[in-house]
Amino acid sequence: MIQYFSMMLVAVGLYGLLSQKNLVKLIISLNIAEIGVNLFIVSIGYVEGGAAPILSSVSDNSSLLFVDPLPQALVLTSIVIGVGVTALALSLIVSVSKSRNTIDITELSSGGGDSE
Amino acid sequence: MKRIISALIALLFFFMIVTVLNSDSSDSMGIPRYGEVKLSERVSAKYIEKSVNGNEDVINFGVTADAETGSANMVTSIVVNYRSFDTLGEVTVLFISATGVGLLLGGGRKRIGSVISVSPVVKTASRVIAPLLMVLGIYVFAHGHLTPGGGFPGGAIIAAGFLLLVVVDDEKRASKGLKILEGTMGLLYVLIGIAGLLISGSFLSNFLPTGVVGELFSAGIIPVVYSIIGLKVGAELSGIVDDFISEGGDEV
Amino acid sequence: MNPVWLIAIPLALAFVSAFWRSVSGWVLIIAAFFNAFAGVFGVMSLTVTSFSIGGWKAPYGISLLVNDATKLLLPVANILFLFAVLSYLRKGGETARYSVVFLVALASLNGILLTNDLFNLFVFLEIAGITAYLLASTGEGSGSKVASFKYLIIGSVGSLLYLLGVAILYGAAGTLNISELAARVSSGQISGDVTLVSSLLIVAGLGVESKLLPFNGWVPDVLTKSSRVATLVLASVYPLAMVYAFSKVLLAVGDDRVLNLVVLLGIATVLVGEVIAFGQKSLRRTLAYSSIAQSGLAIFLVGVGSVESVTGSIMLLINNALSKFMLFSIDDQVIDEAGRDDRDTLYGYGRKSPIVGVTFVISALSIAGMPLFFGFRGKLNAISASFDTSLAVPVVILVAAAIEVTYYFRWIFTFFNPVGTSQVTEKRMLPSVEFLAFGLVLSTVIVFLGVSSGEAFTMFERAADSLVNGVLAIGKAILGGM
Repeated sequence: MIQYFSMMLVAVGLYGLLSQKNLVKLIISLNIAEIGVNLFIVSIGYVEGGAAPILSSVSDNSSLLFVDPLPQALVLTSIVIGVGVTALALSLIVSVSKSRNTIDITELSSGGGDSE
Repeated sequence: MKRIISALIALLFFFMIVTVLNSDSSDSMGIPRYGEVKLSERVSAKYIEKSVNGNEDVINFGVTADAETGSANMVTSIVVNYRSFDTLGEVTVLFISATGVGLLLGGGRKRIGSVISVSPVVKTASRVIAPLLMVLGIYVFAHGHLTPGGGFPGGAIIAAGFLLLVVVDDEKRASKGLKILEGTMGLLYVLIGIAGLLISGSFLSNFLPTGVVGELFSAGIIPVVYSIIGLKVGAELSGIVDDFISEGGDEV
Repeated sequence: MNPVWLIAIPLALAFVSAFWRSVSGWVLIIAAFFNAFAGVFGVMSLTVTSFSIGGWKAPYGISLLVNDATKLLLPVANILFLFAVLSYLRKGGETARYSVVFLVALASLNGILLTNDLFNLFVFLEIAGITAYLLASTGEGSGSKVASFKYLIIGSVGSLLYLLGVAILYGAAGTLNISELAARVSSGQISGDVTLVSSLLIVAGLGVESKLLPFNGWVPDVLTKSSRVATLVLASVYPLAMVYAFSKVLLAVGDDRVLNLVVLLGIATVLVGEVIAFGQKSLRRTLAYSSIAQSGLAIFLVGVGSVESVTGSIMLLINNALSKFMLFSIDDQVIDEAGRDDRDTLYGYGRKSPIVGVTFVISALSIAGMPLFFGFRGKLNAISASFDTSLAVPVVILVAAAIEVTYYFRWIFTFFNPVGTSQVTEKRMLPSVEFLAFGLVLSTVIVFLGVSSGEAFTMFERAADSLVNGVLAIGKAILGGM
């Protein structure tokens, strides 16, 4: 079930990216799609009845059943990369809006000069 | 019209992925049903049993000494030891994003004023809570090999503490030392990698003794690397916050 | 020498120059020199092929692969980067602030060329992508920032799709190592649905950076609006790494049906690129669309998948890197002197500055594929390999090549037109010292490779063979040893 939901999130994000004009909404759609992909990756690793992959006093030896830790490691990296890209995109938006006074992508692409 | 086409494309994408979701069958490997993963078919089996180099014993919490990575948190052992190169890349991504934000926005000495007025109660309370947040962040990255978390969430919590201080106080700016901290921590990570290369012949190998699984001082270089990452991420995200609230920087 | 040094040194120096701003220019030069020397002398003599990071054997750890293809491409990429850095440092000014970005870009491009792990490739692609977005935003005014933003959105969607494809492949096969996946996919162990969907997603992801249709909406704006040095690096070194990554992954794990789709997309890209390039009035825009077409041709050859076609692809890649470097430098020179680069400005420019004119002729003819120059060998390979597909394909390529030759000749005539009056009034102009040096070196290489006999070409064939067959062989060895 969760795999279908995560794919729906990605589809919603893609729809947003294709149809929205406001720059900030584009970044939000990108984030939604990224969340969907990260959820999907984690769900690939689920083992029914498995415990969280940490040795502790509760699950104290490595022969018990654990969920797959590798997708979790991949998602850790992917989330951070998403944060980095979002920060850069937002700073580009701030920089553009200061000099053009608009954040509509159709207005920006069709030329016009810089207003200062 | 544009919306309909976009919706169609998104739906098409959704159905394409759905076809592949339950495809494990007997004559070829596909994606297994949700929850029915056989870990022995994947590389993760060896990560869990810490047997990449052939060790066959069961790992016991608090008992086994000198295990392969020595970390009780298996995700940490993957992130910082088996696939440490990816983490170095991830650290670089954050670094270059923060540098980019600084290049595009930063440098101004003035600060954008806040339009929200903050009552003195909130200000005083925040000055108490922010240090607690930072201690929590330090706890999270220091125990990265024993509990969930690690360098990245720890650094993010530290930056949240800084953000709290910035929101309530109109004069607060980050100190210059943040950039230096960020740079030196990054340099340290690469130097640890190079030290591993010179000592044991491969970049980022774990060259410290790994101790008993489950103790605070165990897992070789893993707590060291996570502390480095925690401090670096904290400094970086705080720097990003600082760049966004600065004004009067270079405008192109 | 462990090739990790090619990545570790620029990265370490990037961190240093983050907090020690004043030395960042020198640090960039040191790193570029180190990488160029290590790339040539350290890598060429390597006999071991796979280096594991952290001491964990593949596929449990990440490994770096050095095969004949990387031995060819690493030196080229690093030396071109060195040339780009040297030519910008004289100009100085605002791009000195971006030296951190250049350092990280150097490290990431080497990482892309070396890595043998799908997720590691994703991370390095992201690093290279972010540095590309930053380099694209360096132009003056807000136009470059808008172009960079569009590039960022398209690039992030691409890498998202690539990550999804990698995740699906991992879910089915249980490993992320490219060689091992090659062995599993080719032996039919993975279900056809999975390889089809994951290959489609990976093509979408890697196709964005490789300028494949329909993902290349970002190219014209980015290449025309970014600052001059950033354009040099973005147009000559980045395509090398990105198209090589495309070939590396798709030749290993690609589904055959998707490779046929890649052939179609490649041809479409070539046609569209050449046709639009034909009508451009500004030299820079012409070069941008020509870059799209060249990438399309290289990717088409990868899609065909035989050793011969991949040889052609590698030759085209290297030729494109060398020639585009010179062409964009020439465009740089022109804008430096005259402020604009449209046809009217360039009338008779070649007569006033003969060195610029001659280098323009050499690199333009090489890209167009004229005999005597390196590009001819690549184009020849392309056309003969394309007979393997259907008969319509060589016709399309010949038509595209004809269009390309036409517009390049038009520009050459503009350069040497004796009748027109150039806007530039000085009698004789000398280009900068770096331009003279690099122009000499690169022109010599292009002509040398164009006229030399067969022995020089075995190295390209060996490179292609290692890509098509070598990766698979390593994978089988890994599977056998498990």
